[in-house]
Amino acid sequence: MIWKDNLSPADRTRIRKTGLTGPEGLGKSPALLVIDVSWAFAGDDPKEDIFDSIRRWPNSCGREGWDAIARIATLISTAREAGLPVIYSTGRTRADGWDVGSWRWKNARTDLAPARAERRPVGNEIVNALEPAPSELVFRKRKPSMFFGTQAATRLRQYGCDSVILTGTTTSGCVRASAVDAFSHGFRVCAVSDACFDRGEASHAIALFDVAMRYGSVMEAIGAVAHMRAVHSARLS
Amino acid sequence: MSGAVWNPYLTKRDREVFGSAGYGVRAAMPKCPATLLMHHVEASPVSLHTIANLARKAKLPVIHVVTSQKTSGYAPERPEDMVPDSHPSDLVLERTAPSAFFDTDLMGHLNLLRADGVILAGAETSDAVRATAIDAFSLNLRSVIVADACWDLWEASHALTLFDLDAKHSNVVDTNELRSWLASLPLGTLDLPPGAA
Repeated sequence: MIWKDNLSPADRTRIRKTGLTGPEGLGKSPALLVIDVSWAFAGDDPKEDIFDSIRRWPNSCGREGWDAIARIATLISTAREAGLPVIYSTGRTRADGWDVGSWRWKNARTDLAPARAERRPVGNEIVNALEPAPSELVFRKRKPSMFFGTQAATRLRQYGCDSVILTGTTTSGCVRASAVDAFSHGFRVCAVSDACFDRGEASHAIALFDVAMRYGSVMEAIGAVAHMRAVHSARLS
Repeated sequence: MSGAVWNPYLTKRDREVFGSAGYGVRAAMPKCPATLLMHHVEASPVSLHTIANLARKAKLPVIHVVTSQKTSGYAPERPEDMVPDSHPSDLVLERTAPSAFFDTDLMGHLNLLRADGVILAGAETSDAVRATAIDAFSLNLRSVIVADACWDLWEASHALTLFDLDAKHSNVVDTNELRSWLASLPLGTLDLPPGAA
């Protein structure tokens, strides 16, 4: 698995000896969650290196993000074909920045105004490649989890969902926080490893490890596509 | 807190990216913190005793968070029934999810105490401690993580959780730093429960 090189020798030994895994993450009625794939986190140039990208977009995850975005696009079209809900989230901030709150406490660049403030509404727009369909829900949120201060849990219950398939960014931030909240709300949790991205290489790998060990399943996009198609076939039969 | 715990786990690129993205500055500490001790069956309670005693000396509230065991009947009402060595003025909460805030009245307690932040210790680092720190962050509460009083089954998860939290959400300290910070706090800023006689 992708986290193998990021574990300690003792961790690797424990896995080999115990074969520990997390709870089953796949359900019978999943929703696809697309978390925070905005210009602010993707940058606006798919070919640009992360170090160039973060000069203009401090939260950008660079080139790897755009590789994941291509897979998220495939997952979205699969979900639509299978009749499964696709739900998006992205950030929101008042123009005067008052509600940035705790985000301001640990980052020296949060207040690089005015250039940053001007970009803020644009930065929070979801990238063109993943434009939500008119019938799909988009939650604007201020904090890491898609569930915090939103109607996400209520909507998932109204849709009759028993599980979520998580994609987007950052793996260790908003995706992981959403996975924990989905788990707490009683939904099964599956994170798609190559459809999630993060500015931190180790943070990305271990966030997925934590999901796999504690909260649900981790699989690649190809597996998530097969799962959504199987759900669709089961409903037809 | 130096990055000694997490440094071996970071890639070269990680160190450069997080430096230039502006993350990881030391935030202001809370003025009126409550102490949250995340109890865990496998974790040694010795360090939690130390943190609890430091907090009591500073007249700060001690809140024990235990995982809910009962599935029927009344849950125990008194702190000492769930945490044998707790003090009468301590609070005890049962959690059923990773975060101590999820489906509990922790936020109500913090409001009554007039707390503006939390000190977190216990286990597991990447589960209960992290989920609680993230909810505190989302509630615009300041959080302080006592790294050497946290425990996790997985060494990498422990280290990367402390790294991620120190980068974006919390101040990660060790017990010595906690001790000197608490000694500098004015006494009597929080409304502690009097404790039944």
